[in-house]
Amino acid sequence: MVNALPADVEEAVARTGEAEIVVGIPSFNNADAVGPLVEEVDGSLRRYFPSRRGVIVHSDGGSTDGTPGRALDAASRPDVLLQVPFRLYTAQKLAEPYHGIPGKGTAVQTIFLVAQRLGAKACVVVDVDTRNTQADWISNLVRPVVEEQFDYVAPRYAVRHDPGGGLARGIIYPMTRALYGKRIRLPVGGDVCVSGSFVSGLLARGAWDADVLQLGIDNWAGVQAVSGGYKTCEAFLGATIATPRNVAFDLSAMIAQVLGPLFREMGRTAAAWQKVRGSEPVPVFGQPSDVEDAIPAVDPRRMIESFRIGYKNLQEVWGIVLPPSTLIELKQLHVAADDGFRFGDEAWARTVYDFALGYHYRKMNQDHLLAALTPLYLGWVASFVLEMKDAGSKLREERIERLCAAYETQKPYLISRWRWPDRFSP
Amino acid sequence: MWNQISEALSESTRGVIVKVAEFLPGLLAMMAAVLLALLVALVVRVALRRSLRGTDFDRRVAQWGFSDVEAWSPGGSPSTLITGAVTWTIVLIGFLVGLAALNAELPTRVSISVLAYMPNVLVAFLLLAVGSLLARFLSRGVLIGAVNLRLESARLLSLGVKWLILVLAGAMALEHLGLGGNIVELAFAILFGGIVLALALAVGLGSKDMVSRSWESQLSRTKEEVHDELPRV
Repeated sequence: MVNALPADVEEAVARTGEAEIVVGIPSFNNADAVGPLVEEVDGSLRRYFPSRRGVIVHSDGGSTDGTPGRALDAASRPDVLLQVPFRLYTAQKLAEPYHGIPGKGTAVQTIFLVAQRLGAKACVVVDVDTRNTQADWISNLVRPVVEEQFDYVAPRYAVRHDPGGGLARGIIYPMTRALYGKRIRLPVGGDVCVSGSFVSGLLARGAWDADVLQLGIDNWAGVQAVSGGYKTCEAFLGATIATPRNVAFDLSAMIAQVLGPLFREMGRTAAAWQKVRGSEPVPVFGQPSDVEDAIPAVDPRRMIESFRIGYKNLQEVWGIVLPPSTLIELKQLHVAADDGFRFGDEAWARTVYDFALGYHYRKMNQDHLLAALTPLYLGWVASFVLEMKDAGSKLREERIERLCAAYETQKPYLISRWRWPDRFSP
Repeated sequence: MWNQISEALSESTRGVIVKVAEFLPGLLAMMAAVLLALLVALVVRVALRRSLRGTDFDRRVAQWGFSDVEAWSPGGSPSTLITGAVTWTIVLIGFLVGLAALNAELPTRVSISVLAYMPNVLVAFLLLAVGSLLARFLSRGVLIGAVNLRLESARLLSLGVKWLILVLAGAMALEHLGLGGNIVELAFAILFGGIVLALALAVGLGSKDMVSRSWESQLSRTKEEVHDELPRV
């Protein structure tokens, strides 16, 4: 039952009464990070919204490192923090999701349910993995909802060099922009604010998918916002510093976790995105940071090598998804010298669209399909790094803009193949 | 003397005519059974083909994740494979029924033993089909996973996994058919063991540098480095 909370949580929520602003913190074994985050959020609510009642909802998945205790100690008053555990199954604990919180979707769902019970106008979900969340970020996220009646506020970070940065720039942003016509830089952002009506809308959908609950909540919620006709905007946040993790990260798993929900939502929202032409900017609130977003030194040679190993071994697999014309372009890329290694924007956009089509039409096992995209993605990242190695923020923005334009130009290709998969093969 | 010869000839002629008269109904019954089976097979074939086309079966098979079935189907169409299999099964059953109708001891025994053996053949066929699907699925998974780990021997690994499963499925099918006896078991053990050994040697020798590099970096890197290793752009 999606709208049910455990009886003791219901009682605790009833005792809390009402709140205008809810700030949710999903966590699992984040003892070091949760204390400072609760302090910062608590301070932000008191400083920026003294006349509105704010409650921090901490949803923990059964941490064994004392995370709930640290959160409780950090709160200025007991009534400002509401702790609502979420149930985490053993299988969920074993999976390492890209956002670091196993079962984050269940945590967010619990936070949304509590926000709904409290009658919250705005519900923020913050990323416990971010080490330097600032008080004014919470303010920037909340104001558009409580003062301007926006439904979904996405983060616009000044710098966010997390492992998913390339994925956001190369696929998520340009693709969601081309599909749904809204220019939101990070529709998969960890720090977001949503309105009470958006929360009610998502909860009214009934049971959420198991994948959404375990892995792809950020992506899923963002797509619901842009495809569901909600009033969306962005808020400027600063440069984020992510908490390092103990385990090595699996890039192909992250690609599957981020792109799987996006491709799946494409199927559900096909009627909506096929009508969208072009894209429009969304309002941005707050002051942009003057921090220069420089690309960290990355050696593209290893990525090029990954692409070449992929080309040598996966041609047969790629051939199931990609049309011959794209395979020819990949062949040219395979023989190109390292310095001249450039993945064309149109070819890249068509490649991503073809994988989305292959996923939708189940041309092969969906996990295999998403994993087979990894060498191609690394090829694109290498090409981007080589092209932008000496470029500043402005030039890089222009470059991303050109890539987005290519995605929009190639959208008729996607629509044609989506509607007539057997008839259209360039 | 002449009378005796004539009597013997007429006796043998009568015997042959009686034999032919006894055999003819069985032959006619066999021909009728085969013709009927052909007719039924034709009707079933047309009906099945239409209904499978009507339900867009080929596309559904691909959507259910059995896209590999296409590769094993004539003309890349699983519905053609199914209609063909059903048609020929009906014709074969009709032929065996016809053989039994001949009322002769040998054909009857043959047809009964073939019919009794049919379940074994079907199970063996099923084992081979499942084995080949599993082999393709797992070998593709291993290939993609190994490529993402940047293993140069990705294709070799994938081939090894494919043949391991095919050999296993083949041995199981042969054992189910009761063919080969100990030879199959022995050959399977040798082949299976050989493939595992070959894989172990290939991966061990081919990837020893990679493994040692991997261990070195695992031992030396800090948490920050783990995070920095990925393409953050």
